[in-house]
Amino acid sequence: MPRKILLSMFVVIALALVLVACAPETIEVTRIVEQVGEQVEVIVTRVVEGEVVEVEVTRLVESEPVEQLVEVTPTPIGGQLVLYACLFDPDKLEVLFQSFEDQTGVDVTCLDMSSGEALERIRAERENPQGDVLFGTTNLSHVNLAAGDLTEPYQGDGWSQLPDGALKDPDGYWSGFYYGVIGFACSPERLAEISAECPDSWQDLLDPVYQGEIVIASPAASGTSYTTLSGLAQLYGEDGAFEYWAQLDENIAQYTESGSAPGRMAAAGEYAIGIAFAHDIQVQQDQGLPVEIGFPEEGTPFEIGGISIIKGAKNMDAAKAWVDYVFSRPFQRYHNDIAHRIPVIEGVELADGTIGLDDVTLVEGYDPTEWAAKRDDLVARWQEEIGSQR
Amino acid sequence: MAESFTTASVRLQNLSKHFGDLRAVDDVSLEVQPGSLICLLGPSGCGKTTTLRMIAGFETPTVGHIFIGGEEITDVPAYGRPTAMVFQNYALFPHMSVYENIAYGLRARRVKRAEVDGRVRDALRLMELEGQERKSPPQLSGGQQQRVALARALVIRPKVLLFDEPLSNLDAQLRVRMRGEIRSVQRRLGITSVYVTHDQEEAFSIADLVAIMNRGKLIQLGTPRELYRQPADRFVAEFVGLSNIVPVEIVSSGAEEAVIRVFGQTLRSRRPRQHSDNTTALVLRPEALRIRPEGATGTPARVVSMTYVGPIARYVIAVAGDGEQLLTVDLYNPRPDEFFPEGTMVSLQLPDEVPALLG
Amino acid sequence: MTSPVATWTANLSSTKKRRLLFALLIAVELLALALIATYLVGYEYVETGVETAGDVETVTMQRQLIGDPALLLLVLIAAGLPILSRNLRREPVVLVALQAAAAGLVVFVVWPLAGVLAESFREEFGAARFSLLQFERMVAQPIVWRATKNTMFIGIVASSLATAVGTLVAYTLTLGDIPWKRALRILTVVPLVSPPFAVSFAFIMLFGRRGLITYDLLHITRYNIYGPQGIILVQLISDIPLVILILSAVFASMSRDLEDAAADLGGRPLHVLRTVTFPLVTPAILTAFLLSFISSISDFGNPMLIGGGYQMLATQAYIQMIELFDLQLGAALSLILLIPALAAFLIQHYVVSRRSYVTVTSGARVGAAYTRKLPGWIKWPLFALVLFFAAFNLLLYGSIVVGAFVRTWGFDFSFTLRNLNGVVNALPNLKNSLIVSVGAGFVGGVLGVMIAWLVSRARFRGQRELDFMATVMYAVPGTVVGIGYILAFNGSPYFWTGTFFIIIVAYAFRRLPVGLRTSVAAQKQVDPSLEEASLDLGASRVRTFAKITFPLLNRAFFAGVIYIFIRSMTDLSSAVFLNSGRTQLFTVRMFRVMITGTPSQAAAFALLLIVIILLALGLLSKLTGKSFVDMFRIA
Repeated sequence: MPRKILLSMFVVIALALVLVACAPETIEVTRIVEQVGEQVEVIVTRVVEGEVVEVEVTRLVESEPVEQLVEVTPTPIGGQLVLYACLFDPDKLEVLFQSFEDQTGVDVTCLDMSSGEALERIRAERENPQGDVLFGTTNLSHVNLAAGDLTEPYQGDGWSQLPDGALKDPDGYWSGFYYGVIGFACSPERLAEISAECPDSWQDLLDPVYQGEIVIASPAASGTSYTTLSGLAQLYGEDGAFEYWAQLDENIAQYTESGSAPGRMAAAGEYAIGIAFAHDIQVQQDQGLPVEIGFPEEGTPFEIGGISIIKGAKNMDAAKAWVDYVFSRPFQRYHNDIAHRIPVIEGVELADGTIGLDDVTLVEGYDPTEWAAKRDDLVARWQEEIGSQR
Repeated sequence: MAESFTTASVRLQNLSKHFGDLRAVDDVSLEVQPGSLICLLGPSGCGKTTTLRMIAGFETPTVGHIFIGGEEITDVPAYGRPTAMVFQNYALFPHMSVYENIAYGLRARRVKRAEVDGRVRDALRLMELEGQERKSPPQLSGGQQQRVALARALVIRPKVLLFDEPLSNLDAQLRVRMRGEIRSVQRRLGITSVYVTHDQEEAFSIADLVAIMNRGKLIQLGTPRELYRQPADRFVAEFVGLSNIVPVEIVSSGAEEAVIRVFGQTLRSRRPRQHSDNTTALVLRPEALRIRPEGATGTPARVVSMTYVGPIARYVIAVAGDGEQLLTVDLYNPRPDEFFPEGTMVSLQLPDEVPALLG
Repeated sequence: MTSPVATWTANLSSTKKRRLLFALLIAVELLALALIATYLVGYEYVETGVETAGDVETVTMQRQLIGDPALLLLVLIAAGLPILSRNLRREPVVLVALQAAAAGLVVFVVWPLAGVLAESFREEFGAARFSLLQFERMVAQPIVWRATKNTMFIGIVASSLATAVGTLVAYTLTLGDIPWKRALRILTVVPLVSPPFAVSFAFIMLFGRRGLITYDLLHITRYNIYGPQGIILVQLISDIPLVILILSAVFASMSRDLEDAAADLGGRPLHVLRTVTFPLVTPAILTAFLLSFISSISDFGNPMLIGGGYQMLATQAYIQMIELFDLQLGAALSLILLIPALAAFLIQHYVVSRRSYVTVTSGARVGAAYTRKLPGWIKWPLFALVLFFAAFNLLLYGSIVVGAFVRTWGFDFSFTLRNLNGVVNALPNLKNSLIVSVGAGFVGGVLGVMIAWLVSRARFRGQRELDFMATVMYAVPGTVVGIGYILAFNGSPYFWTGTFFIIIVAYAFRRLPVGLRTSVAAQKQVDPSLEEASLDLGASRVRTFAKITFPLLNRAFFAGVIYIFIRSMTDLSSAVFLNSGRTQLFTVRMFRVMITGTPSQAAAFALLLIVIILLALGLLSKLTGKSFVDMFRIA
C-alpha cells in the first residue's frame, strides 16, 4: 500500500483528535433562585460562547429539613474494612479484629505502614480511596488530613464522650483514642558497659558519657520524634529547644526513620538509650528483652493517637462502626493490655504494669493538637539546623 | 503422487535488491518454463542466493516483480507462496521426528489427518526413507537428511521447488549420487525448479538452463552447451571451465562470421552475440589446442610444465609475443610422441574454427 | 448454499484478499488508537469565576485539555512508523507485534523516565511550565550534594572491592585446582537468591553492635556497624556473587592454549597470570565493575537498614517523596541517581562490551574448564579467600534459618514456632507478591521472547533503537522506576497506582532486559533457516513461532520468566512506591518487620521468601532439565 495512503490515514486521525478538542471554549451557567409564594424556583441557564443553549427550571416546595437519624445498631454490616497505618503489630490486634467481625461481619485488614507512608497514600488515592480508616498515629497526621479535606467528619459515640479540647476535632474530623508518653528506653547491659545510668532528665542526656549511645528518630520522618521536639519547644521555648537539640546532637548515634526503632535498638542492647514512646518500649519488654524505661523529670511530652475516616471511604458504614468500636470499653481495656497505650475513656482501668498519665510528669501546658499545626515550620527549621548538618 | 502436481512458470522482472549501498541483485529478469530446472550459478556473493530467497519470499525486492504461474507474488509473504525450498543445511526441525518434519507443511495447510498420513508415506517411499520415520534428524546420515529435506519440500506439492546449494554439505561421492537423484525426481514429477550452486560441474550436470550471475547481474542465460561454447564474456568463459583467453586481431568482419588473427594464425570465428566492434579477445578451450614437436606448423612456444590429470596430459606453455602469454593445453590420451619435457620448444596449432569472440 | 459474501471473497485474487485484510487491520488499529486517544486526552470544564448579584449566580467555566497529548503523540509515532516499512506491511503479524512492542516500550519505559526528567524542571509540582527555577532550588539543597557524594563514594568503593574479591574467587573456583568445588560454587553465589536487604539484616544479627559474633563471641563493644562501613560490607556480600558469575563464565571459556604458550615461552605462573590471564579478562572485569556499580548505587534496602541515617540518593529520594511529601526533590534526587547509572550502562554497552576478547554468553558452562596447576603459595591463600567467603555466606543464611525458630535472638535461643504467626498473618501480602511476580514473569517473559525475535530476526529500521529502549531499564534503579511510574500514572486519566496492573507492568519492563538478552542469546543458537523452512512450507508466522521458534527457545523463555519472578518477589525499592493498601507486597511488610519487629520475626519472613525462591529455581531446573547448581546463574 503506498505511503501516501498511510500518511493520509494519520492525518485523518490527527484531524479527528483536533475535532474532539474543538468543543466550546467557555460555558457560562447562570442560576437564578426566586421565591414565589410557597415555591422556590431555580432557573439554570447554560450559555455556550454567547449563545443560550439550555434553560432548566426546577420548582421546589420549601419545607423543613428532615433531621437525619443515624442509627447505631450492632446489626451485621458485612463486607470489608481497610485500616491504614496499623498502629501496632497487626498480629496482636487480631483478637480485636475477630471480635469486631463477630459483631458486625466485617472483615478487617490492617496494613502496616509508617505514618508518612499512610499520609502519602491517602493523598495519592484521594480520587479513588483504597483505605477506609486512618487508625492510630499521632494526631499530627489527622490534623494534617483534616486541613487537606481528606477525611470525613464523624461525630459518633466516642467523639461525644470525649471532653472538648485537645482530644478531638471540634467538627469531628478526627477523635483521639489513646495517649502515649515519651520515655527513655535504657539498656542496662549497655549502660553498665559504658559505666552510666539510665538518665532521668533531659539535661542528663547531654552528659558526654552517652556520646554515640543515644538513638532517636528524625522529627522530619517520624511523628514520635516530632512529639519530642514540640515538647522540648514547649519546655524551653522554640529557640531554647533548638539550642538544646544542637547539644544533644553530639550524643546522638543515629536518626532513624521509624519512631519505634530507637526503643527496639536499645532493647536489643545495640545502644544505651533510645528515645521513644513508653508504650513501644513496654512492647519490647513483653518480648522478654531487658529494657528499662526512664522519664525526664522536667516533664515529658505526650501524643494523642487519633482515628479518622478517610473521605470517600468505600466501606463507610463499617468505618463508622469501627470508630464506635474503638471507643468501647472492652476495646480500650484490651488495647491497653496488649499495646500499652493509655485509654482515653473515663473509668477504663489500666492493665497491670502499664504506665499511665499519672505515673509521669507531663510537660506543663503541652497541647499536642496545638503543636500539630506548627509542624511544617518546626521540622523545616530542624532540617536546616540539625538534620542537614550531619 | 506425480499426477497430482501442477507446475508453473517463474518470471522475474527487473528484480533488484539493495542492502544499503550494496546492490546484491541488480536488475535481473528471467523466465523459467514450467517443468524445467534452472540453475543460478556464480561465485559467492554474486546474488544468486538472494535471488532465490526473493523467490521464496524471505527477502523483499527493492525494485521489481516476481510472478509464479502468471500471478504476481512480490508482496505475498513466504508462507503464502506455492514454493518449497531445500536448504543448504537442510533446516530439519531438530525437535521433531522425520515423520513430523515431512508432515509439517501439510499440517500447516490443515490437510486432513488421513490424507497427511498417506502423503507422508508416499513421500517416504519416493525418497526411500521407509523405516526412518520415527528417528530424529540428528540420528540420520547426511544423505538421509538430504532426502528428508527433499521429501518435506515435495510433500506439499509446490508449484516451484527451490534448492539452495543443497549438496554442499555432502562428500564428493554422495554429491554426485544425490544430484542424480534430485534430477530424476524433478524430471519424474516435472516440477519447475530453481537451483542455486557455485559448482559449475554440478550446475551443468543437473540443469536445463544455467543462469550465470556476477556482482548481482545476470550475465548469461543458456543451456550448458551454449555457455560452454559461446560464453558471453570473459567472466563466463573463465567461470564455466578452464579457458585460455587470448588477444585477437580482427581481419574482417561479416554478418555471421569474422576472420581473425591469433598468434600469427588466421582463423574464422562466429561473431559474439552482443556485437561490439572493439572485441579483442578470444576463448581457446584447452582441449581445442594441439601441440606438435618444434618445426611443425604453428606458433612456436616453450613448455613450462606438464602434469597428469587422469588420462589428460596438461601442459602449460609460453607463447612468445607481446610479453609472454601462458596457455593451458590438454591432450587426451597422449601418444608417446606427444610427451614434451619442460623447457622443450614446441609448435602450437589452433583449430580452424573457434567458438566465439567475447562480447 | 453459498452466501453472496462467500462467493465474492472466493472470486477475489489472493493479492486482493491480502490487501483487503490489511485494510481491515489498519481500520481496527485506527479504532484502537481512537479508543486510546479518548482515554489519554479529553477536556473538562473548570470553574474560572463565580459572580453573584442578588439572586442571580453566574458561573463561568473554561474548557481545559486534560490528559497527556504528548504521550498520545508518542504512541501514535510508535505504532505508525512500522507501517511505513514495506517489509513489515507484508507480514501483518510481525507488524502488529512490533507496533505493540514499540508502543509498550514508549508508554512504560520512555514516558516514566521522561516524567522524572520533566518533574525536575517544572516550576512547581505538576505545573505546566518548565524552567530552571526549581532545579536551581534543588541544586542549592545541601542534602542533594551530600547524597550524591555519598552515593558515588559507596558505589565506587563497594564495586571496586567486590570486583577485586569476586575476580579472585571466580578465578580460583573456575580454574584453580582446589577441593570442594561444587559446594563452594553454590555457597559463594547463594546471596543472589535472597532479597538483598536480608543480607543487612542477617549481618546486624551476627556482626552488629549486639551481634552474635561481634558481641557474644568476641565481646567487642566499641564499634559501630551502622553507617557507610556497614553499607559497603553488606553490598560486598551481595555484589561479589554477581562478579563471580560474570567472570566464572569468562574464565571457563578462556582458551588454555594462550596460557600454555606463555608458560612454554618461559613465563612463571604468577607472571603468566599477570601478563596473560588477567589482561584477557580485563573487559569482563570492567563489565563486572560497572554492573556492580549500578547495583550498588541503586540499592535501597541495605542503606535503609544499616546506613544509620547515612544519606544516599536512593534512600533520600524515598524519604523526601514518601515521608516528607516533597515529590519534586524526590524526582530531582532520582534524576541525579539515574545519571551515573545510565553512564555506567552506556560505557558497558557501547565501549567495554565491544572490546571483549572472550565473549560472555549465558550458556557458558562453568566447570567444563581445565584446571590450572598453581604453586601452593598462590593456591592456598586464594583457596582460603574462597573458603572464607563461602563460610561467611553460610553463617549469614544459617543465622536466618536459626533466627526464625528462636524466641528472642541474642537473649533467648530456645526453640519456638511463634515467629511463624507473623508470617501466617502476612499470607495476604504473600498472595499479592505472588500475583504480581507471576504476572510480571509471564508478561516480561513473553515480551522478552517477542522483542528478542524482533531485534534478531525481523528486519526493519530502528531495530537498534528498539533494542536500546528494551534494554535501558537495566540501568534504571528501582527507586527511579517507582518514582517515574508514580509521576507518570498516578493522576488523571490513569489512576493506576494502587492496582496490581501498575506493579506487574513496572516489574515486567524493569526486568525485561535480562529476559531479552537471554532470549537473544538463545535465538542466535538457532539457525534462521529453520524458521524460513517452516514459512516456506506454508506455516504462518504465528504457527512458525508456536511450532518452531518457541519450542527451540523455551528454555530461555522459562529462565526469563523465573528470573523476573524471583527479582519481583525480592524487590523492595520499586515496591515501596508502587504498592498500596490492598496491594501491599510481602517484601514491604518484611521490611517493616525488620525495622519495627524483632529479628526473629523478620528472620521467619526472610526464610519463607528464600524457600519460595529455591522452589522456583527447582521448578526451572525441572523445566529446563539442567542441574540445580546451574540455576543460580539465572538468579
